[in-house]
Amino acid sequence: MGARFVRRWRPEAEPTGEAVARAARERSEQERETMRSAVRRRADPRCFMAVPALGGLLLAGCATGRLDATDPIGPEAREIDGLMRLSGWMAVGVGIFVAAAVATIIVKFRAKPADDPDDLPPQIHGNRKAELTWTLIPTAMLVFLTIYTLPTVFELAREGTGPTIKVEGQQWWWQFSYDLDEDGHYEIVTANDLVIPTGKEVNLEIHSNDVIHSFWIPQLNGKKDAVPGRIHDWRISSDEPGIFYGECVEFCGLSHANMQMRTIALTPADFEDWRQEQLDGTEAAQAAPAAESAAAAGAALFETHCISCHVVDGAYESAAGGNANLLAGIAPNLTNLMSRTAFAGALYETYQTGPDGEYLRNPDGSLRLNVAELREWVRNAPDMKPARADNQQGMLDFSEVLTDQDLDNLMAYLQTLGSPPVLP
Amino acid sequence: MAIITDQPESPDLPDSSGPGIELEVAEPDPHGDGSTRTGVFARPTHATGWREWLFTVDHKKIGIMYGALALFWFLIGGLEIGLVRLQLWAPDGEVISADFYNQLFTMHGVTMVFLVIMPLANAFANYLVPLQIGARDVAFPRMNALGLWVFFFGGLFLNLSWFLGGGADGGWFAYAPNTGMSFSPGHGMDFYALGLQIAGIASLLGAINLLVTIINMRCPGMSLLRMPVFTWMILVVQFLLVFALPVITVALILLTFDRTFDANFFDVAAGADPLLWQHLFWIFGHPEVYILILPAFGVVSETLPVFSRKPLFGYPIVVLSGAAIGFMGWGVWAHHMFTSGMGPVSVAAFSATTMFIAVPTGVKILNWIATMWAGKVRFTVPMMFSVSLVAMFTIGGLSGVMHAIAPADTQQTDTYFIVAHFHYVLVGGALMGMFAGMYYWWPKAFGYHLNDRLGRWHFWLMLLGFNVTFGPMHIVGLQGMARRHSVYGEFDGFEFWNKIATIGYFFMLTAMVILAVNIFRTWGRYRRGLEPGAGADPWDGRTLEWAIPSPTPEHNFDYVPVVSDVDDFWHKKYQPDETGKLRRIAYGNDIAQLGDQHPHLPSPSYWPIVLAAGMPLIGFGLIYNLWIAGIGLLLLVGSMFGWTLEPATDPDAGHGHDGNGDHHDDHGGDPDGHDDHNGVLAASTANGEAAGD
Amino acid sequence: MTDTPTTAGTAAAVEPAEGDDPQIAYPRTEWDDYEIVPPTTSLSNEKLTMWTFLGSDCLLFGALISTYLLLRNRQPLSGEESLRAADLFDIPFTSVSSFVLLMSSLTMVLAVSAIARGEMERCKLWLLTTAAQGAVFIAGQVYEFTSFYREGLGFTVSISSSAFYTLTGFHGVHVSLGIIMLVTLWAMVNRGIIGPERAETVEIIGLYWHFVDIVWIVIFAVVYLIP
Repeated sequence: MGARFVRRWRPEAEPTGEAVARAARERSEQERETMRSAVRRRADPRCFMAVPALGGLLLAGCATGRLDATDPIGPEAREIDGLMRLSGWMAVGVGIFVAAAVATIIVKFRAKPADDPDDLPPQIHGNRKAELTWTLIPTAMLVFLTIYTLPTVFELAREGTGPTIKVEGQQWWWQFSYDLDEDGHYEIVTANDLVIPTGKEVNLEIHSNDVIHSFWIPQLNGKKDAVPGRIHDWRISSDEPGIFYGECVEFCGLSHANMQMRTIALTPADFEDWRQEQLDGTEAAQAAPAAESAAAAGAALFETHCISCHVVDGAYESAAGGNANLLAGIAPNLTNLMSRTAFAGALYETYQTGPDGEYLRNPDGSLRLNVAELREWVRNAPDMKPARADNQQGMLDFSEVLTDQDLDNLMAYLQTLGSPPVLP
Repeated sequence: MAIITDQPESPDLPDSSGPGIELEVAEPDPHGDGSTRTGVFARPTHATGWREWLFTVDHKKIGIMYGALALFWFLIGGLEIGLVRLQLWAPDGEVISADFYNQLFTMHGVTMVFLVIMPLANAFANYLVPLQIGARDVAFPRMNALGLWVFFFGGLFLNLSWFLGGGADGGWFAYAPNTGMSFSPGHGMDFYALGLQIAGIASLLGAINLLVTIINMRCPGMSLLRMPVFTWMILVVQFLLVFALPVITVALILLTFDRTFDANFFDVAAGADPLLWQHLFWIFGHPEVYILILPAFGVVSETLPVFSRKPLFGYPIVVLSGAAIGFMGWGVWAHHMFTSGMGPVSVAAFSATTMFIAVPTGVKILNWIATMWAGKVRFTVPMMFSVSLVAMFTIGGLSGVMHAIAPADTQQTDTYFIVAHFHYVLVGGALMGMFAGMYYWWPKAFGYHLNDRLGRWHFWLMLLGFNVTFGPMHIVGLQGMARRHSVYGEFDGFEFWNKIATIGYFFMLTAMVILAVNIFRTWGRYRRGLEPGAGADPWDGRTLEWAIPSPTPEHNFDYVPVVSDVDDFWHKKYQPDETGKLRRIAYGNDIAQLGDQHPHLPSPSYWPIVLAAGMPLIGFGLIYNLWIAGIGLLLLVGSMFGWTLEPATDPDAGHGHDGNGDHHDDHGGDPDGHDDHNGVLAASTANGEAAGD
Repeated sequence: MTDTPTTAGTAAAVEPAEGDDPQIAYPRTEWDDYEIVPPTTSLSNEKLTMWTFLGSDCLLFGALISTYLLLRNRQPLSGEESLRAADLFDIPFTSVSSFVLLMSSLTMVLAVSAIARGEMERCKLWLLTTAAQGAVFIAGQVYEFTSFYREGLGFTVSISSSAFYTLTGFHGVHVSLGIIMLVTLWAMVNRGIIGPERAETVEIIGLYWHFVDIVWIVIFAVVYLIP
């Protein structure tokens, strides 16, 4: 599915002048191949040296991806990373010890062809002292690890000092709701992009509206399951602005692989801008588009085909919307659609990206909408992301319903929803 | 083996196509005077051909069938995951659909756990436990056959889902509520719930039977602390099964009731808590992990001493740590749920208990190393597999300790790091042990060795392929690749290592093809007389199964052995000389029993397979139409009555006992064992039995 | 495991030697006629099997009872109240039927002791009495279920009703199987298939029956009496 489209980009790749120039061209198959081999080249040299069996324990050597748990950005993830490294190196040590012992046996204690087959080696039935020793030494190591671990368990369970954001998982996308003035009403409801201020401990209230999901931004903290009927508290924080990727990691059905999200950490000033834009967008969405425009026609189509699942007035109700079966018969609130960097469960970029993942810009500096994929998504979503629309799981196929003109009008309407994203 | 080939073999073996046929000649005509017996149908005689297998109650044939079925499912499960590996070859894979992918990894897990490793262990347990404790068969031979056939139909039923709308798609641990009708509307999860239920019944039957056998049917002198370690580990496993299976039974019942009868157990809207399933599943599921691995530990505890020519280092400690693993295994289940939303206190508690289960496991590994240390290690094929278990399982165990650190686990769980971990445990541990057992006991079961050269190819390709497949998964796991994702993106950096892993898969596949070639080719050569037969004691073994001819005669032991030491058979071959050094005094092939007695054995029976056939019918009925379930139930109940009323065909029932009330319920036996080895032949109490023919 | 004092154990090995009785067409066990080594422990294989099975069954009921305890007071997320099983309990009625089941354990003991003393007629009588008491209990349960159903507590009505019917239903199935076994025993004693030498068979069925009773006491206490 969707292989015709470049879906993801790498955050650490700095946009260069050359890349921008190249981006002006169509993305050819050939370039994508170059991309792939570049990723491969990056991964190869350090990792090739790893002994396959122990390779996994060489934590540091292979950091390449954007989901890398060993490349922590926030204090929570760093604390976990420290524990992983400590236990990893201890494991490597013990592993080398055992491997050396086995190697010694293979080399040194191998029966020689010249040996008298009836001549037995010393028959040792056991040795209390030795056995006691190798019971006590592992015990001591594990006591040490336990003592080292337990405070972290409680530290990670502590409530953070920053704002609280409601996180809802559903098949197969994430919704984030902000109650910034803590009056019990969610002023901002968004999807796919979890926007947080840097330097603050952000509390997450993790819900699920259907099955069990698991919220995971590897560079900011470990996982926490989203379990229907329960609220799980979790915490993330980022020291620096950036886009940090994440995905659902508890198997949640058909499109489990396509349930992604990203955390956009903004400086407090940028975060304030973003907040204001969201609130403005909500107000704007309640105003009707100019009559006789393509957008107005699109709005009418939206009323007909989309409104039963998608909300655009910015008002927040639980995404479950009183659906007693807690089925995923609900869809993202589109009030500020244009302010999100991704759509369709963060599977596709809202704005065009170049081959190195950087955003392409018009001469005036504005972002270029990824109309092709957005339009295709509206036309035939199940083709771009596996879904069971007949079972209220995923977006319906409108390819038989909407004409090309309809789609153009809808695109025009969608572009009126919100302002471009605030990027770190 | 090279050391032993120059010794005399049992004279009558190489060219016979199987002991069953020979023995049949000596069987009394079962209908000769069966007229006084009542019963719905007569029992089958010791038939030949396919009947010999279908209606058998012989623990050895049942064990072999368990093994054959397990290898068949191993092929299926392996091919299933092959498609998965191809899909993951490149980013945005388009080899298979997401739906099919989800079914494949679910069925791969279910198949490998419940239809491959458990029955493989069961194959060895069935075949060897009676031999190792000096018994004629298990306590309840028909129940044993029933277990096999229920397992057969359970596995068949589970996999029929492929042809009836698709396999289960909820992952092997099937977390509710994703498995409910709302979210998994196909029949796959029904087949999962009912198929595992049926397989569970099979395991429970087998477990109770083996448990009673081990506790109650040990030969005179075989006190608990003289039992071979393999039998010990099987005993621990049966305890785990007996107490763990009911819990998954309840979980599956709740799931079935939800899906079939609209109950509300996992309906969150009705107020359910999805964590109920997780707790029930893992209370079973964690002991299940030890159910899978302990038999392999038992196997290598047999092979390492034999091929190092040293006794097992610290036998009591090895046994004790095995039992400790079994016991502690009950207190760690929630470490599968560190991210499920338990409070920090529970997380801390389970984190600590999980750490400490590593202690007995580590003790075992170090004891194995000490067993080999300073030995004269013969690197035969079974030994190579055994040594690789020690090394590979260690890696899986160490990454397990990393998971025990709950905060680290929140980064590792549900990624390929955990996939690598449990494959190092289950393939590097359990499966390597099972292969070691196959090569080690093959001559005992079939009377000839598997080809050594092909065996070495099998081993090296397996070891290489296994590490190339699962080693890189550690890396992609830490890079953040989540398990059960049917695609990954091209910017994630997972492609390189996934390609390596897929290449490794084909190494393993080749290894399995070589194993198959080895089995069939060697079998064919043996039948054509091109392959030399194996003697009773081809490896210079230590335990009682080597004290009888190869292949094992149908009645196992001519005379019930009497033992007075751990590794009693070994001590009949080696005695200390005046300086105290052990010297060979006899060769195993010479002092082994001849297998020429023909005591009565329980007759075969139609009922186990007929009764078992009722169970899948009940399963189909619960899915499609309750009338089918009614037919299945009738078959079940009818067979139970047939079973109960089945006549004993043995004309001498109630006769032939010499009334030797010689009682061996003490565990002391002879206090100082070493001098009394001729007792094994002298202590026959079976003469009257033989005369009864 | 405690062993009730009977002829168990050694009997397995010794008895068939004396048992030249052609009447006994059914071997007590498949191994009776072949086994030459007495059981290693003082428990016979059959009794050990029953003990093991009951141990396993403990976990089955343990899981079912835990499930009920977890779910019994849970209400729909929507906030509306659904009917709970506990809202309808008729404690006096269930107490009576529980008492009947409890008394059946007594008659079961009498049956076992009767056959151990060779009093076959008395054994038959007690077996039937036990089965009848079990049947009374089952009848009570059927009545309870139907009256609950009429009051609106269907199996699928609420999470508590699903858990209640599943738990008590499984116990009812256990009792019913026990009744079938008791009646079969009675028939076998009646036909002389089971004589005093096979008192252990009755004892083993007795173990099962006592277990089912004890489980009911637990269920009655935690399900009915503890609010």
